[in-house]
This record gives sequence, C-alpha cells and structure tokens, in this order.
Amino acid sequence: MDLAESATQRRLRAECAAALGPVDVGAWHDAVAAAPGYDRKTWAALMAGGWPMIAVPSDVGGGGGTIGDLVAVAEEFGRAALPSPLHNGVIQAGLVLAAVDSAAAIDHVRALINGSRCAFADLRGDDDQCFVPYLDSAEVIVCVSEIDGAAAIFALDPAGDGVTIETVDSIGMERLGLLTVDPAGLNSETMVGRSSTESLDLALAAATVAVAADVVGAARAALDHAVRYVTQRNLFGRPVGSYQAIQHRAADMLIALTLAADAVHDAAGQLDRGEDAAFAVASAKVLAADAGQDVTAGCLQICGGEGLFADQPLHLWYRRVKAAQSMLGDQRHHRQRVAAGIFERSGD
Amino acid sequence: MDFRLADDVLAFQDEVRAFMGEEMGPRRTEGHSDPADLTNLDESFERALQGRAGQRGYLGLTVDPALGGGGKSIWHQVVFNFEAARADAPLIDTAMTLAGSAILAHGSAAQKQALIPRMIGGEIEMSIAYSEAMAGTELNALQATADRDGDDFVLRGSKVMVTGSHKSDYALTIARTTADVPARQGMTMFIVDLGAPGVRRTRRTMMNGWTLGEITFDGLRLDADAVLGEVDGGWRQLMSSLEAERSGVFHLGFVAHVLDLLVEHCRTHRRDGVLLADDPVTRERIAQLFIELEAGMRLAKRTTWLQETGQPNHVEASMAKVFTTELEQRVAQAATEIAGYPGQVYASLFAVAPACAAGGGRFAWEFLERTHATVSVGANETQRDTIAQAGLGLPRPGRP
Repeated sequence: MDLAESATQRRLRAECAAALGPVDVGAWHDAVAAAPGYDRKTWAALMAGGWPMIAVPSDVGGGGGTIGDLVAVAEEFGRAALPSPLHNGVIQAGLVLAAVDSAAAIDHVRALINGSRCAFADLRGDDDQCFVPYLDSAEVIVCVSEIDGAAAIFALDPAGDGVTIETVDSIGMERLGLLTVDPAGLNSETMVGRSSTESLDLALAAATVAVAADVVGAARAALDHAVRYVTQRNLFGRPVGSYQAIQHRAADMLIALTLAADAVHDAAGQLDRGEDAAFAVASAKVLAADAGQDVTAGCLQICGGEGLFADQPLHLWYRRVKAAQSMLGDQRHHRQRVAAGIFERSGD
Repeated sequence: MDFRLADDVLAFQDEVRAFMGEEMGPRRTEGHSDPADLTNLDESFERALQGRAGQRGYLGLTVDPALGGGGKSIWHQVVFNFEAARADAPLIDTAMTLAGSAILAHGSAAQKQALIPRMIGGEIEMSIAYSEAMAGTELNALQATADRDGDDFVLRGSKVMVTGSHKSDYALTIARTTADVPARQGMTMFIVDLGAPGVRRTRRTMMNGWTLGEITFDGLRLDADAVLGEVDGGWRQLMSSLEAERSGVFHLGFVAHVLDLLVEHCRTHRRDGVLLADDPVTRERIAQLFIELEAGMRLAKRTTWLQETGQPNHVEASMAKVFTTELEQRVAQAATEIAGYPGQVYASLFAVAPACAAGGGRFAWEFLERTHATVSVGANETQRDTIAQAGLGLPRPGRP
C-alpha cells in the first residue's frame, strides 16, 4: 500500500507543469481558430521535452516510463487545457504501434517520436463513421481493423485514395475529422503488422487511463479556479464562497474529483504491475467522465455571470472534458463492460 | 383538476405555430445567420420579423387596446411565448417582453404614449441595463450615479451583461440619485436613448460565441422626462414589477424543440448496431425527459393560473425558473450523450451544419448554451432561498 506519487512522477509533473505554464485563454483561442488547431511551436517544444511519449517503450525511442508517469503528464495537459494531438496522435497511435511486433511498426514509432504527425482510428465495430481529433494535420493515419477475427494495424496516407476526411466544428474545438476509409485500402501494402488482442487491449487501456487523467486534471483546475474566484467575490457583504449552498456544491465536486483521481491512479498502478485491470480502467473512465461533467458545470454555476465569458478559462475545461467523454468509450460503453464482467462471469 | 387550455387559446396556439413555421422556415432564415448575436440571427431579420409580428398584434397581446395592445388573456401570451421559443424566433427578448411591464406600471402617460405603440408595433428594440461588474445578484451594490444638475440628471457609470445593447434603440437603466441613504432608498430608473452622445457601447463574447453588451455612460445628460417612475423609487419599482414571463415557458419551448430533434435522431441512428429508438436505455432516458417537460408545462400553467386569478405566485415562479432552466441542461446533456461523437459536432442556429452533425449541430450548441440561464435573472441559488423561505416558511439564516 503506497498512495504517494513516486519521486519520478513528482519530478515529471513539476517539469511538465513548468513547460506547459498556466492555462492561457488567449493562446487557446488563437490555437483553435484555424488549422492545425494547436500551436505547432508549443507542441514541438513539448515533444522535444519527451513528455507526450513518456510511456512509449524506450527500446523504440520512447520515455520508457510507467502508466503512472503518463497519468501525471496527462493531468498537467488537462490542467493547462492545451490544445494538442497528445492523446490521439501520440499516446494512442504510439502505444498501439508499440504493441505490434514488426519492423514496420518500430519504424513508425520512431518517426512519430521524431515528429511525424500521426492520428489513430479504431475501425472495428459497426459504425461507418470514425471521428478523429486533429485529423486534418495528420501525416499518417494508424488504423486498427479486424482481419480473420484478429486485429491488424495499418498506416494510411491521409491524401490517399479511399480516405476521406471532413473536418467539423465541435464542442472541444479539436479539429474533429470525420474519417471514412475504403476497406480496400486496408491491405498487405498498408498493413504494419498484427497485434495480439491482449497487447492491443493493454495499449488501449493505458490510453484510456491517460484520457481519464486529462479529465481529472482539467476538473481539478476548474475547481481550483472557481474556489479562488468565489473566495474573493463578495455578495451582500461576504464572499460568495461563504454561502452554505456554494460550499455544499463545492464539497460535492471535491468528492467526485477525489474518487475519480484515485480511480485513475489505481488503474495506472494495476496496469503497471501487470494485474487484471479491466474493472479499474473502466471505473477510471466512468468516474472521471462523470466528475469532469459535474465539476466543470458546477464551477460555471458557482462562478456566475463572469465565468461564462469566452475570455475566462472555465469553458476551456468544460469543453475539454466533454470532448474526452466520447474518446475511447463513453460511460455507457464502460459500464456495459463492467456489467459483462459481473453478470457473464462463470460462477466463482 | 383541469389543466386543459381553453379552445380559443389552443386555436391561437395553432395560429401562432403556423406563423412561426412560415416566418422561421429555412427559406426565410437562410443567409441571416449571425452567431455573434444571442438570437443567432442578424439585426435586419430581427427587426423585419418584429415589425411583422407587431402588425399581426403579437407583441402586446395582453396590453390594453387603448394603448394599441391586443387585450388578450395571459394564456394567449403564454402559448405565444412557448411557440416563439420552440421556433427559435427572435420574439423573446422584444422591447415589450423586456421593458413593457416596467413602462406600463411606472411610466408617465407621455412616456407610454411615446414608447408603447412603437414597442407593440415591433419598431424599436430595447435592453435592460441594470447589472454592474460589482452588482449582479447584489444589485443594490450598484455604483452608477445620476447627479442632479438643475432639472437634469447627469448619468455616469458602466453597466454589464446587457442583452442586445449593440442593436437596441433604448435601454432601461438604474442609478443612484441620492447619496447619503441606503442604496435601496436612493436609486432611480431611467429610459435612455442609446444613440445619444455620452453613451459608449462595447461587446464581450460569451462561451457560446454570442456577445453581451457593456454600456458606459460618460456624463450623459438626461432631462426629467427620462426618469421612469419616481425619483429614488427605483428599487421599489424593480421589486414590484412583474417580469413579463414568469412561468418558464420560454425554456420549455426550447426543450420541446430539442426533444423533437432528439427523437428524430434516435429514429435514424444506431449504437452498437441497435437503432437508438429501440434501445431500452435510450428509451427510458428520453421518456423521463418528456415526463419532465410535461411536468414543467403543468407548473407553467399553475404559475399562470395563480397570476390570472390574482393569487400570489412568486414561489411558483421561482420553482418554474429553477426547474425549467435545469431541465434545459439535462436535455442538452442527454442529447449529446445519446448522440455520441455526432453529438459533439457543432453548428450555431441557422448556420449550415455538416451532415454528420447530430440534430444539425443543435445538441452541441445546446451544451454550450444552457450554462447561463441558471445564473441569470435571479440565480437559481437565490430562487431556492425564495422557495424555501417564502414557500415553506423555513427561517432566514441570520445575517452578520
């Protein structure tokens, strides 16, 4: 039992936080106003610092860190509400590629670490449509599809035949791209390799925990901001934050946030120790998504009119956690998996 | 107990719905999208529609015919408001809706004659400019002053969170006119011509892309005719003025529209291979929202019936405000969640949406839009105080 962050995680968090800086509303608006939807210079500096690829294995050029390390980094990105292809473009693409045992996969990971802009699309499942953030600035699309009942990974050229991309406005302002892929384009030429179901699931589990961590970081930053604001804003002779209704709401937000944060850290720990973490990962995504919504919406409520303006940071976190809700499975998806684990378990 | 609306009210509702269908159809709104305005429509469209609605007698439905009004019942006003909201018509924040009751209650004969016919005709737009940076919920902390200078007043100060000030002809505002008394005894309401020199207007963008106005009065000279009601009587007038729309029916109109879009989405989209309309989880969630919409309609009717029969209804009005504004939020949350990624795709009203956008981008717009109504026009926390204290007789907490 040890509920403290490791020394490595503390150092990573501090360095990453310093590199990201405080939330910057003006920079956010500038970044999301046009393609690519993020600031290339800022992103390049963060890539050079090694934080986005912290959990990619070192033998393919990554940081070789733990999922716990990745959680610390992701939380800071959420806190800073920085627009970037961190999750889909580096963590998901990178971890999925790293789960493929082939020379081609290793080449792609190395290219990714050296700045090749990837996007990740999971084409398994019934939906024709796949929504991918920051798709229109991707140089290569890493796709997972099913062939003969097993998972195969492909690397597609976004400008190639059989790939159509429609970029749309979205709540999260993350240059959401609707991707359509002609199945004929998933062939032996574009295939990077195969992955065992177990390896792929582990990669996506880690990526899911990273998204949940980002949401926790965003929610915590929103709550910190709101608490500071209501502490100094006066109403009828005393701070807004001294009113019981506000305090009780804030208390509920702290409960939700605490449960979510610990769920994320627990899931990361279980994954790092090689334990069966399916329930923990699903829990982390559910609790984080619920807390993300309740906390960011609650902060907008208690901060009143001033918090609703575009030049204030609250909507940055509110948007970010909502966008994360749909990424790698919403709450309903993960609850169904938990239910399957409960009800379809053979008697034991 | 009979919650049914009278036949003539229902017939009027059908008439209004047909009017809205004609006026707000895509042929009419095409090319008039303006995401920077609360209405998401440009000013020329709004003024034209308000003029036509005024000519049809729709803007002063309950006003005395002697003043050019329709002399209709409050029920006609309620169904009109519901249908206007359901159609997203820019007929919600009209001059009559925002300022009509204050001017009718406290205006001089000359002021009423000068303004009410033009307001009822939809010829002018007005704004309410009461709040200040340090005086929102606590309005009596306001700092704007209107110093006497002979028979005139000189207005100085800044007002914030003003709906539509960029396009309005007039504003109702409130400022301190007597200094050495508690604020509530020393403030006066004024009608201000926003085109006058000494008025500076700016716009500040909200999180969903439209702007609220800020008005700075830079030594604006006002004569006595600009005073609305009694000098130093402003606070009393504010407290006694009934808001024109107290039943929550605007919010219910928005909810009804979004739920219709959500049902349509569920009839045509799948999740994990199952049509959403057949999915038990989705069906249950949507059924609950329809139950709540109808519950809100009953409360709107109760609030209105109490008003019509001369009974106090401020508790019911507070309950309606809380319930309908929070229902809007639940609907936005449900719609975006049920629609998944397509529910994240955004379009402002009357803009062209991508085909992949759920509800034409409306669900995402709702998610960003429904954050303000629970903090404005009496934040829901203060409404709950009223419900608890005036509605249940619970004791007021001691003040320091």
